[in-house]
Amino acid sequence: MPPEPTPADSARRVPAGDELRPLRGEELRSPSPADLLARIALGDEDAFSRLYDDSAPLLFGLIRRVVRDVAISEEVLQEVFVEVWRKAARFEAHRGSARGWLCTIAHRRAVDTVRSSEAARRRDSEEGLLQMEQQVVDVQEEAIMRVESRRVTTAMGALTASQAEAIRLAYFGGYSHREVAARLDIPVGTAKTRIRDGMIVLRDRLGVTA
Amino acid sequence: MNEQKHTMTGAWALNALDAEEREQVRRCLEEDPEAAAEAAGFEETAAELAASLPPLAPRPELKAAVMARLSTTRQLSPLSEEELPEADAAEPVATAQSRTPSSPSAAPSADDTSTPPSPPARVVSLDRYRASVRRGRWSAVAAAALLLTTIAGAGLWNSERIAEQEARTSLEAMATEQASAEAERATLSTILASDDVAHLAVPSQDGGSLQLMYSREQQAMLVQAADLPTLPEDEAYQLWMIDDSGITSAGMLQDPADAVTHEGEIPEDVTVGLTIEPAGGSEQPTMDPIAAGVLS
Repeated sequence: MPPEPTPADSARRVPAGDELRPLRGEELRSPSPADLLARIALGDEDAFSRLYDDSAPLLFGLIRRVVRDVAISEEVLQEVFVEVWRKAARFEAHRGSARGWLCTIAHRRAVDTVRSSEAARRRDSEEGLLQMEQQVVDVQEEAIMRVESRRVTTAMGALTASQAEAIRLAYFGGYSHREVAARLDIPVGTAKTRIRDGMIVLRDRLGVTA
Repeated sequence: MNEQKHTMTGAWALNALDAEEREQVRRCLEEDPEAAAEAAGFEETAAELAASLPPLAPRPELKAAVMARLSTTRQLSPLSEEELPEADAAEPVATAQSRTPSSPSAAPSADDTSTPPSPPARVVSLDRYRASVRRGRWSAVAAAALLLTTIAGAGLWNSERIAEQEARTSLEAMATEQASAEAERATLSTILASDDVAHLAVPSQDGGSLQLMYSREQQAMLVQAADLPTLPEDEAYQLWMIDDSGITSAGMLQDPADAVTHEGEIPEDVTVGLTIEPAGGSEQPTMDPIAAGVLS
């Protein structure tokens, strides 16, 4: 039901009560993770506790996806948060988002762990048996997820099938680009290029600025 | 960075390099700001991938175990990444070890003991800062947080904890300033926590889309624009609520990436429409909507 277009008779703003107000922080929860990191850098354990509550489900979901083994994932999660505590002062807000920083730490530890031999063996033996007994975190998290997943699914749809596969194997599978090349039976250089080309498309589609 | 190395930024951001390559690329990125910016953008992109996974709540015991380790885990000073000795790189979890989370502290790495020379207080222009921060829900970083980081960086590690009180004072001031923004965020939490929260994606004919999340029960709505084309300065996006009783403005999207909230009754079958209007907005729309969705 498109409205009948009518000429604008003035540029007057609508009354305040009826107006959509910009969310200044663009932030769902307060204080923001970056704010919390700044406080954690000062040794604030309460801020750490909050950051843990806010981000543990995200990071644990990521770690479990890469590591798969529950017990090892739990261990990785703990090491990740101890690292966050140690390195909070090194987070630089002008270089990127707090979430990006946290995910990088978690993903790197997860990947390093699965590449160590024992974990790799366990992962391989469990491949295909993966059952994520997803514990729904809370309604709020779920609502955010629905939007996030949709955005990423849409963006992934813009990739070629081979780009998407290479990125999935590397990021979610924790495989090195050499392993990705071997699994896809393509030259190593091609794997690197596919990953980078795919990441450019994803970055642009997802509107990441950095 | 040479072309061959440059193609490694993607694999770098996805942690798909082996240790030796990682170190090579790390050194290259230090010398090549362009490649470093690309790598940073890819890391943010990777975080989007992570956020698309189902969140999993870890067992509560894990948090207690981590919290118990804090008091014995020394925090590092704010050295920049480039100055980090490699010893500080993430070490894989030793899976052979006992799973109990009771080791008294993370092994202190070499740089724990080195006192940095006074780290310079960085001044980052707000524009540059804003440009570098990904626009998204989690990433929002108040300029105040940067201010605090700068204060902490300049004072805290110079003279140990002498400056801490100052930092805490500015933290409190910051909290006051943020209170109003937080009130708005509270509205959003209300929507998301309500029983009748509904979501609607409305594509725009000019590209991009509107994501609508609303709760009729709570009389509140969130509109998040995604990938709308940037408009010339003399034009702006305006939202409208359209129903049998007429068309009322629901506010401006000052920035195509803004999220906006709307409070008030959401009539049955009202249409939310988006138009392009002269900057400052119009009383009534001057064009057919480029995006329209019915809140059934």
